[in-house]
Amino acid sequence: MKRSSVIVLLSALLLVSLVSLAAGEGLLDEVKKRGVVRIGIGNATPPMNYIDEKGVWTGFDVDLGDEIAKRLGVKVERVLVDNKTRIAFLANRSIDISLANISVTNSRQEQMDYAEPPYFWTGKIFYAKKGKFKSLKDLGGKKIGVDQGSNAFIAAPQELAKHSDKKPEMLSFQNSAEGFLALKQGKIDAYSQDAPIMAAVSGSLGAEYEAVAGMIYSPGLYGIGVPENDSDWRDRISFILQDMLEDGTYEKLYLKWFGPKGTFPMSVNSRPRLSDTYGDMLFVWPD
Amino acid sequence: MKFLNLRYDFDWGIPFREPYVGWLITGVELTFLIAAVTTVLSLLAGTVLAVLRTTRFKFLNIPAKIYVETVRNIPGLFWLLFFYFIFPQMLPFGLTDVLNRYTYYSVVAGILGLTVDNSAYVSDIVRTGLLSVPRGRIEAAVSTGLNRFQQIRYIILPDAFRAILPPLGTRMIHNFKNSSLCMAIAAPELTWATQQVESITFRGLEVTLLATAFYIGISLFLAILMIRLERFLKIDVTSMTQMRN
Repeated sequence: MKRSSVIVLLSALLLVSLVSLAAGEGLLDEVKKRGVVRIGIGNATPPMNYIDEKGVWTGFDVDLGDEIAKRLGVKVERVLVDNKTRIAFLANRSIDISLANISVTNSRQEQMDYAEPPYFWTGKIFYAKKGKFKSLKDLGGKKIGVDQGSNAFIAAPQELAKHSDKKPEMLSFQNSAEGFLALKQGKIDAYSQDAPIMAAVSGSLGAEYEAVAGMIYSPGLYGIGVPENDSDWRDRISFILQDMLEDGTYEKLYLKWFGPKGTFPMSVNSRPRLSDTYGDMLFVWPD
Repeated sequence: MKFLNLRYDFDWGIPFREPYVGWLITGVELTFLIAAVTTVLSLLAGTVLAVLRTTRFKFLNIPAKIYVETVRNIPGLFWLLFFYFIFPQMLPFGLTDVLNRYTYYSVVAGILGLTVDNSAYVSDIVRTGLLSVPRGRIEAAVSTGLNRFQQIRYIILPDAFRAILPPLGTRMIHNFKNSSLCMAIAAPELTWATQQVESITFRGLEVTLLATAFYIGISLFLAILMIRLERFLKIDVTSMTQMRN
């Protein structure tokens, strides 16, 4: 190919990409036109999203995603994401929604937005063999495991620094199941992850483990991730979520997964709510 | 800066900021350590295996053959996971806990796994080298009164290694790149560090591009080094064949 034709080709490419950027319509219109909403969901974090023993991709996130698609009036396309791609895919627009137990954090705000309110309220614990550690002070200088991509990598040492001068040794694993195996084998002293995930990952072995000092140390408010700077889309998803909270659909799903007769019964209340000032009121915006 | 339609704003400050730069430096050091140790160990193990495979004794060559065939047909990543999660549990009590509690066990497991994987391929390369040594050379060695071990040590292996230097170099470069597999078992080598930076900053392209440049740079450097070594040792295949005639 001659040099001139290379230049022509390159400038054509550049022009096409500039035009597509300039004509960028809102995601809401785009999804309606496409007839499909692409939702990024993980598969290694029970009870939020996982593959069950029959091989079916399921979890609270999966059900929530299906319901959102139904209310948007479009088909759902589930895109598999992991702890690292769940935010990157939103940033490069390979997915329209990310529903993969993403805690709302400051640093993540720079890359993405969240629908309001966060849809699941939980928090991080230090999970260790029962009776091994009495308080967080005992965890100073110990080996702490986290999921690679979890904000526990930053939050855990910050929390432990309040209790002990000895810096913990941080190890990060590819998912919570591998991390729990390492905990069982004694490769790490404690694993830090959100409470319901630890409970689900440990399953029947959970009886031998506990949250150190029984405390949640860092809020994990799971948000529905949406791409940055598209407020029409963000509002639409927020209102769908709030409608579900008000009309009882959310409650039905919540009970199916976390209720007393649910798949993973949970004693803690993780529903989004305004508890102190307003009594136990749902976290939705007034009309 | 918009890079075509990647929709990505580069921030080249990220890889040079604390604590990311620290993770990357540790990653580079560990990558070199893992690559160097596995290269030496797998070269030793591979050579021993190759010699065993070319002996006439069935009780030596059959186990060596089984080892090579088994290892070559199992993905390298499996061996890393095996040595990290399963191997310590197979040891008699006491040793299990010692290994599991060792802070850098992930690095040890990575080295063991990569050595097992690489030694099988190395043994195959060395074996072809051993088989390529002309009969006349061995006969000459016998007639000078060297015993079997001396023949291997002073005549056959040096000849064989000259002949196999090019494929051996390629294999070792491959092994160097395979060190990135260690990220799967929480060993903080370079690829792990780039993933870690990405997972914290959500800006992975900068560090990933830097790491790519590092891998390419070192691989090229090793390749050039091998070519220099080949020239230095003056491998001339025709001289060997002439000797055969």
